[in-house]
Amino acid sequence: MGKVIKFPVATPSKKGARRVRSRKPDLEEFGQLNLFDSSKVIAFEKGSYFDQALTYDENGDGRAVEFYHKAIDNGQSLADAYCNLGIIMSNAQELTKAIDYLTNCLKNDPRHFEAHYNLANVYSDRGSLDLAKMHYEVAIELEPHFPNSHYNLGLVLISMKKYKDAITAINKYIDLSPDLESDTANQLLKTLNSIAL
Amino acid sequence: MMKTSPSEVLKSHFEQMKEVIPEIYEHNDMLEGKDQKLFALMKRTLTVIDAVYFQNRDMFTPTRAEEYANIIKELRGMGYDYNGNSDLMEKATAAALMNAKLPMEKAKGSKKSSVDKEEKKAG
Repeated sequence: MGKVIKFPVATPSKKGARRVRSRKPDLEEFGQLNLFDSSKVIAFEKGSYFDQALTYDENGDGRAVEFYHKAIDNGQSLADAYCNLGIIMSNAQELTKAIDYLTNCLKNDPRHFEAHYNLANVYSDRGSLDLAKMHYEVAIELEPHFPNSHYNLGLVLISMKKYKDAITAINKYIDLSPDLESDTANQLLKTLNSIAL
Repeated sequence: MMKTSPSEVLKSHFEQMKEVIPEIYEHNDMLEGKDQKLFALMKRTLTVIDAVYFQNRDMFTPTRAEEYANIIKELRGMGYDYNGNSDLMEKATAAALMNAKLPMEKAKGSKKSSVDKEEKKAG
């Protein structure tokens, strides 16, 4: 008669996403070399499509789009999901779609800081400098201590040949950012001063 | 006896060479002419691009303007004197500048939206 060998993996007790570590056996206890020690285990709370999407997104996993849409369909973090879909579209050079998602985000939350900042980035990629400037300014109104808005606004102002305003924006960025990150800005400021003065 | 200068010696040497192997010199002249014709053709093509740009400026994305500027840069690098359309060149400079912008910010979903906050206040 054949011998029944018990499979060392526990049967899942409930449906849905669970922590993978709890059902993963230590393969080395069963005489098998564990080759997957360094693999990243992603665990999700049940039903949190947005968190799942964000984790996929941060790992560059294409499933992020699907899960952001699931989050939207289930009314979870609507504005944030639209915002991050906008970033994905922008990275794929789908600028019109990116604008569509980001404006949908603002429709859900008109004071969504990231959406204004990201929308400004998309508009500057399109060369729509007036719109880019306006959205950076709104982003600064909402989060005045976020240095990147000031820096990017500075670049837009240089492109618009508003050098004095650009100097003010870049100076603000230098004030707000850590020393290491402001080296490029200091260099830029020197060049700007030589143009504007 | 009259002393001849080095440049005169060289000049007569090349005159002699032209007589001995005329086909090489003819070929060089022909190449030079072809080169100039190509440059003229290139300028005409770029003028057409300029005209299209003036008719519909929105059609020229920053990336296209950058590509136009690259053509002018290469042309100048090859020794040709052509400055390109100043408006398009400015657009390309702005695009290059905006490439240095700081990246986008992901929404982390941790904070409540202002709409939610306002709704809570009202409630």
